[in-house]
Amino acid sequence: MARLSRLLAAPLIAIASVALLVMMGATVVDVIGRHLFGAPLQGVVEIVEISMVAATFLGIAAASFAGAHIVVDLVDTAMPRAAAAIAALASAASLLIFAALAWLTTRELLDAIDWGDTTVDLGIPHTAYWAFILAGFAFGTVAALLRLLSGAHR
Amino acid sequence: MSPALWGLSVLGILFVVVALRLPIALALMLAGFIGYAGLDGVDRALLVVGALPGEMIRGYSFSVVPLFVLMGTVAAASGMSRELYDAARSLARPNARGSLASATIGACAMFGAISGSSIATAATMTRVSVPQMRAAGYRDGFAAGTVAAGGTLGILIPPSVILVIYALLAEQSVPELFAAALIPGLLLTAFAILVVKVMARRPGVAPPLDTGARAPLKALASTWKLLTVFALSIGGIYLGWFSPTEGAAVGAFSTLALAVLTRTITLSGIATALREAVITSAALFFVFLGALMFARFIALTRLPTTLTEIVGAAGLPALTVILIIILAYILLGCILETVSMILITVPVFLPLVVSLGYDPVWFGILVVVVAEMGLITPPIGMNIFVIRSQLPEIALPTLFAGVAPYLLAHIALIAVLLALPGLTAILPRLLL
Repeated sequence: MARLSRLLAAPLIAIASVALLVMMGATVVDVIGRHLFGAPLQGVVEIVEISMVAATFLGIAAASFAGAHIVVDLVDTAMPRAAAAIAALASAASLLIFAALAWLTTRELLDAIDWGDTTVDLGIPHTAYWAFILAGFAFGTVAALLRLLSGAHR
Repeated sequence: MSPALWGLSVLGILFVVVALRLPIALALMLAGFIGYAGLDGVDRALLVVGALPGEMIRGYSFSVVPLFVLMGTVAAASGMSRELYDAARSLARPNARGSLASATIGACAMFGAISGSSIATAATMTRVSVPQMRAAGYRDGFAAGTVAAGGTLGILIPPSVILVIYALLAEQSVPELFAAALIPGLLLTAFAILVVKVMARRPGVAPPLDTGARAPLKALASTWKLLTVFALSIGGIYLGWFSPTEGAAVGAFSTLALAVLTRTITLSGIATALREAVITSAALFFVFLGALMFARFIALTRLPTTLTEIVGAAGLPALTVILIIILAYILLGCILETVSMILITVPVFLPLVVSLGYDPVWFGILVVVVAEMGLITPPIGMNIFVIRSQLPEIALPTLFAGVAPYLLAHIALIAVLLALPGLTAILPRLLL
């Protein structure tokens, strides 16, 4: 299970890392171009925004696989015996919430397909943004399921 | 049930699910959803949750967060913490009391500035400075406590991820908050060094050590990378060359470029830095999304307005109200970590604080200082746990006892901020 988690997380982290580099690179190219050559990068805001969505939502899924979401540890020290049951409960709740988020995002994605809107400068379809968001929540659901099944609650 | 009372009940639900180890992001979404549905129906609440990620689509200004985080993870991966520690060490007077601890505080403040994260600073500096302090015969609790406290310093010295998050949440200007935070950040550093000097007087805590003659030139040479990055990214923001978002990109890029050029980072180091930046900022934004849902619900309850009215009717002096808020933060700090705490509470408290005539920028600085105290106090002092994960042989009570004296530095800074609210307005007025 742990190996499967790492296997699934690796491509998500790779894509999100590239998106982060694109975010940084595009902004730097724009700043240098604007100040030194009087030539700003066309559509830099949109490049940053789509990279931002990709890095954030694929990153949310990756963080779920890695068990890196921010959690408060109070019960472990207070009641070690109940801790296992509580952890299972929390995993089940995570699974339900991620699944609900994926379902709600699917509705938004279908709406975006119907509308067929694109961004102004680069013509990026709005569906691309929602597709990254959906991918994040869908993989998040898978991660939560794996955690519930493996009993790896920490 | 009145909306305000329902608001308080949902707040109760939130704390229960958080205590049950549901990730804070999901807990906030769940509680926000339940609360919203209770007031406005399930269908409306589902619509609001579904549209939430859309906030990130138009999120150009959000990109400042992952880029500043990346700057920090690259700095950590390229061993900049050791260079800064050596620099701070070479500035100490020979045989000065607790010189290694003072150097740790100074290095933490510098590294914290570039890393923008308290926990990352504590984690990185532990590896660098604790072994040296222990080798010199420093007491374990004092050595580890100094790093834990040092971790909290960088959060005020710009650039700071938490201040960016406060700025996004409270719709304040990032450059103004950064400028406002610098003087309090330096003051806190000075107070912490004062604590070192007093603590080191006690026999056996920190035996004197000959650190050699002072070498200011060596210190300058070891900090040139930090100074370059700082001058480019932060300097560029105040010179009006670029926005904070662009400053973050320039900062991350120049940190990476310097690390590659000086061959202090490996390819796998870069991959690690990217991975950590992705995961850290994704986890932050997930909490941010959850907090957004919760804030939507809080706005619907009109709880902040009710709170303002109640306090107004009670006719309490402004200072008393602020003291009560500080107390609330200290209590909350026992159950929540810094970012979540700020995200949950600022929408509730800020309207009240502004109605009392305080500057939202000043409040941001105050909140960050108070919230950071939670990182070094029981039961969930994150800095302490990060250090303990690396030094499991030091007992938890020893660690908490070691860091306790440094709380005086925070309390002193809070007192200064309360006595001189104008302190945070000085630099913004000069620079902006």
